[in-house]
Amino acid sequence: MRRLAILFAIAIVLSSCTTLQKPATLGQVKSRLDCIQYKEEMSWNQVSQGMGTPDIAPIPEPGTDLSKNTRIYEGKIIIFYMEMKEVTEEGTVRFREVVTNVEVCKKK
Amino acid sequence: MLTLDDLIKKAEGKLKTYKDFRLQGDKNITERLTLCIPDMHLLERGLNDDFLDGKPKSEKRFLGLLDFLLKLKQEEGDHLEIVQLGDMFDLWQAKGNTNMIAAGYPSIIGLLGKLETIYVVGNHDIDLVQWYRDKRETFGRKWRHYSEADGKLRAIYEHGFQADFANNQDSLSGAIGREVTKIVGVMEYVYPDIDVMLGSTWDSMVRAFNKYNVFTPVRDPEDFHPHEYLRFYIDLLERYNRGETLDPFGPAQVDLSLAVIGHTHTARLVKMPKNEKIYYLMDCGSWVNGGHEIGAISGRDMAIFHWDRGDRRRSPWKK
Repeated sequence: MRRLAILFAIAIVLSSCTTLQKPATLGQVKSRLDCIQYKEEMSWNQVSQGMGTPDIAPIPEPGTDLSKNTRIYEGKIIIFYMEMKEVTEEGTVRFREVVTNVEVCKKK
Repeated sequence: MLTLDDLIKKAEGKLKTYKDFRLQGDKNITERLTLCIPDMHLLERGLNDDFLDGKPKSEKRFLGLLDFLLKLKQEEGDHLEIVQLGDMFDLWQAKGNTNMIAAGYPSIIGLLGKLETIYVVGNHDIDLVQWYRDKRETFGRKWRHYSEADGKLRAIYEHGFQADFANNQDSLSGAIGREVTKIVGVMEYVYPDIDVMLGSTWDSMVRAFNKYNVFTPVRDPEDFHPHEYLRFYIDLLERYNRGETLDPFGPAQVDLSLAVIGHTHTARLVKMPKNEKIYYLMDCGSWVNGGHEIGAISGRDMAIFHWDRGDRRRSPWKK
């Protein structure tokens, strides 16, 4: 009897949690974020205006002319946009998920 | 239109009639070959993924069927129709939504799309029509589908949960069944030792609610019917035939005699005469839980087939 009582007590608590949970839409998630979309050859100003000063600016890799370098932001949110792409493998049609767009975001 | 015998021939031994489930209707039911894929229960490839069933060969087997169907579609075009009968995704057991399931099975989802599959919604993926209900976004899912022959609707395709007391999502009993199933899963996730804490009570709960439900009549072997949903579906078909439906069909457009469903995971093909008509119920069984069954209708012919693994070696003792 005691076991059954514990079971139903837990069930009631959890059922209230499960019914409250609803999957978030992309729009809902993004409403809490500031995002910039990656585009090839976008200007650094667009990034720094959106994201602020980088947390880490590593020294350039050896063999470069100092103009090729990297900037690191820690603890940012990345959104990958996915699509299916048809490919042929050993003569059969298969599908692979591919990234079609990337956004880097920070909390507002 | 390809006949069922032609279909068997083209499959080169991989498609076999399941038990003796083959019938000929008294009238044409479809004007094209219609193949029905029942419950798939795709998950994120985890331990509880019924589709994968812990065996990579399970995926290969389904991909083999889809490769065959793709070749057939290229030959037959609009003369071939494929209907997925719901529970393609198992969102009751999924960690999230369809997103990571798509990551797990891109080729299966992509190939079904390429085959122009018609998707009917099931009780385990009903969220697809509920997330954006206010915007009427259903992700291409339909509540039910119909086949026409000789200018009239002749067959109706539903998942089958509509006939199930504990899983009809329009009823309170169904909503409770769904929540209890979720709770059982979440409880084990939150309290991994709950089985030790609750002993045999937990085992009974899990057994009863893990995938099905204690109220589901299919679990009641004492109460024998050729199919426990037969009465429900004959009533439904008769109501349609009388024009008593919210769907936009008058009695002149409707002469339904076949209902095609999944849901129970137990394939059957039954017929029953009533009020001078013959009604048929095709339960296509399941792809998961060892089923690997599909339903097929061509003209008057209907059958349930089993898709063979195709890699069994012939026993040297058999001649």
